[in-house]
Amino acid sequence: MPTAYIAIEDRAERERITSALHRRDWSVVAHATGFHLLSDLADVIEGRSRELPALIVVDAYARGCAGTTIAAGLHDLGLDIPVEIVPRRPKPVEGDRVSSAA
Amino acid sequence: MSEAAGLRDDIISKLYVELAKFPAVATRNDHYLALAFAVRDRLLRRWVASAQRVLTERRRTVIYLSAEYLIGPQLASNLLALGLDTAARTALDEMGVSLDELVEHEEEPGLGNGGLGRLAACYMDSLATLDYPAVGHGLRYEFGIFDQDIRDGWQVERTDRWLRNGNPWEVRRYEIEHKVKLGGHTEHWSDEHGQHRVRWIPERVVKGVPYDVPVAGFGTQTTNFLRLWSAAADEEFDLDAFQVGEYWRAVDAKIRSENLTKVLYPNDSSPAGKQLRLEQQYFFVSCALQDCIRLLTSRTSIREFPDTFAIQLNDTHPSLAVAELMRLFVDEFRLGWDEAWDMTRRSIAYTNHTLMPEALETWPLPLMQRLLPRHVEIIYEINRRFLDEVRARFPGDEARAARMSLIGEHGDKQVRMAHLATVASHHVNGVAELHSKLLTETVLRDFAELWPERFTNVTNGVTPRRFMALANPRLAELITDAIGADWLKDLDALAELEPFADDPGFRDDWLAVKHANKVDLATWLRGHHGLACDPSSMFDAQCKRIHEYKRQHLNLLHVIALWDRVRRGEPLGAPRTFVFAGKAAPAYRAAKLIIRLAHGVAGAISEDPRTRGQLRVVFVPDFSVKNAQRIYPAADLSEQISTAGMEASGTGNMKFTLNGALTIGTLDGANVEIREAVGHDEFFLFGLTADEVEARKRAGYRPRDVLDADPELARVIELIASGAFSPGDRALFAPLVADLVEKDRFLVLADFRSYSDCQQAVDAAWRDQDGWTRSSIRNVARAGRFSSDRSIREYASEIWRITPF
Repeated sequence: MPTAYIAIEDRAERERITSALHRRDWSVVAHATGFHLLSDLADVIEGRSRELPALIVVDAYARGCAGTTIAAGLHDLGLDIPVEIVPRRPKPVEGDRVSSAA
Repeated sequence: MSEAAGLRDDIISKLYVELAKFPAVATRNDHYLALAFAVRDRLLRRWVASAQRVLTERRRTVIYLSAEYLIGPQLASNLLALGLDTAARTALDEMGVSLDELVEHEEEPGLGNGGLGRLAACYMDSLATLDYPAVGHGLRYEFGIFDQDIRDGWQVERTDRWLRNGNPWEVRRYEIEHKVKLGGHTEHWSDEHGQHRVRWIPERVVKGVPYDVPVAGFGTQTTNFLRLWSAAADEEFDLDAFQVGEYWRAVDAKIRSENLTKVLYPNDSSPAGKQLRLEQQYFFVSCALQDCIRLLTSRTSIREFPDTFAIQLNDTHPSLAVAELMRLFVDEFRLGWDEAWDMTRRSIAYTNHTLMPEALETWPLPLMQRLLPRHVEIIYEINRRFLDEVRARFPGDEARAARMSLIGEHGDKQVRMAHLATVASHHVNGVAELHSKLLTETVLRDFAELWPERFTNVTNGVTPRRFMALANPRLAELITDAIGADWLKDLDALAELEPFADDPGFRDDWLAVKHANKVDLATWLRGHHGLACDPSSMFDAQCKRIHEYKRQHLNLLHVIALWDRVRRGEPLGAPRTFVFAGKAAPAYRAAKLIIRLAHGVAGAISEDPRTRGQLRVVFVPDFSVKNAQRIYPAADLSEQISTAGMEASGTGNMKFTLNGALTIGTLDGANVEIREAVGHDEFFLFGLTADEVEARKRAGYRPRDVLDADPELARVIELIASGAFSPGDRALFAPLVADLVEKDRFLVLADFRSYSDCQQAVDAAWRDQDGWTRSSIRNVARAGRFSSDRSIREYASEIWRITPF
């Protein structure tokens, strides 16, 4: 059973993609952030865990590691894994406000 | 006609003839471009005059080879250099256009990762200002360092598209191009005189085309330039392939070639597999050296090369210049090996930038053999002759020969680029006194024992034109009013400020400048990022690449400890705003977690009403030259807290000091010299020394022991582990906590108590605002030696042996 790694921030969309892949007999490792996907990939590449995924689906602006960054990194490493980048504009900066006004 | 009127006419003319616009419909970008073109015209006249002078006077020219140049926005710096800032403001005012808005509008070329690239830019500024002829060769990356967005506390990388609106400062040289070979194999043959020759038959050829960016000296006519190389296909279009219907193959070579200079690689990530990075390094040094030879042989013999050019390698990224220069001398110009080697060694010098063994660049031998087969042969021959010398000097010491070899034999064979650069250089320098000393005791110890005379130090410096005059015009004006304007070209003149520290009126003015700069930063943060901070609080800033050895997390542990004290009802010191800024390499997970932790801590503190008016944490997104110029002038305290022995020099420490921030720091890099210069009483010192760090590690450092002995630190770690800064996700920071508690390679926990105690001393000093201001003035007055002008004078006299125009 091939494995797909996905990092989709929107929960409904993440579950929709996960279900669709399950129906096609894929095993899915799902995250909400690019950082966690990056961590999983690094663990595999550094030999600490299982085999590489056969497919990656990731938000273009995934938090913690953009989809384009992941695709470029895999290319640099010579890893020929299809990366499906979900082209979504970044959300408004509401969540960026790490300190609110006094 | 006045200068302002002439400039206004030129701006309007540029709108019409360059941009096909009339003023009523011109956009801000049109106005920016029109002004830039008008300024560029004036730059070009100076530049051409400088080039003519170099040719007629036949002076030895510095060839600075650097894979990165973080030059920052160019408009304001060029106006300053040309003395046109007032005229430009007047001209634009008459047109109803704001110069400040155009300066703000300018896109910054992010052609570097951090300090190394910025250092190269500072040095180019000083070379021109001090009238030394120089050309900086580098790469014209289409996409520079990524732009950093922050979303929900996470870094998100966004592609840098600095060329999307055009770059008015560059001049493409259509008449110059150099072919760069890649791959293939070599053929050995004998020429008509029976001499052994080698021919390199490449698999492919890429064309290098230069884009020149003028670099104007301040207060002088001298203008040098950066020559940034862009890759193009040797043949734009494969007509044969097109005619047989292979449309893709017809453009494949073009795409593949142009990819070579597409993107700047972030550092702090493993180079494994990055063939393109090796191609980039070779590409630009080959173009640079071929270009030097083109200029040289058009008027004299190749044998004049060492007397005509002083080549400086900025770190090991350009160190393939050694093998390439040998290849050009031996294969292309048919010089004998010994003569070629002598010429190479008289030409090249090398600046080392790191003591961390894992950061010393190596390349897998098979990769280099595949890409640069002739260079590997040359490196092997250099190595054979070099190891003969080592064995003659240290008979029977095979372990030493193995350590010094240019080829690493541990595991897969590697080419050791620092060894290659060292063997071929007439001088090797570190970038701070401590760094240069440690260099000869650690990573290059064997080489220093063999050739002690080659090793020297040139402490880094920064240009006061950008980081004082441009970044902090209020302070610059105050200083000029006090001691005259000479300090911008002679930073030692800042010493004349010293008596003003005892002048209450001057202190008030100094304080007012700092406060106004803090208000500016606070206003910008609120307007652009929705971040609030109180300018009356102490601005405590740590702004640099995010890296474990730089220890942003040590700073955060202290912030958390302060928050814990608030929670426990303990009294807190003076109000503080902790300002963080910096990018994490995209694949560097620990650094990304540190950014996330900074935001987690910021959020928790912000939501706790007990901290209101006391503590605040802000993370300024997208640290760049432009944003750095906003932060340095506003900082009260500069955090230079790397693990001792790990930071080669640092230059942010100098920029903060020259803008009046006091420093809390370890005895690391140039901190040591800053402390000596400003005085021990004016510097907040803490932490283990480099020797103590090594001793602690040798003795078997156990971070858990530190934790067991320090209840406050244990509570801080527990707060992180408990999810206090990652609500709903206790596992988020588990890797960070585990690393600190189990390994702590950078001795964060070991230095925590000393750091925290030192921060209490900072707090006490801050409460005496008058005393703090005196210290701030003294820091600036005593920091003149951290000008890049001083660094360049040292390079010129001790390494390059050149004289100014």
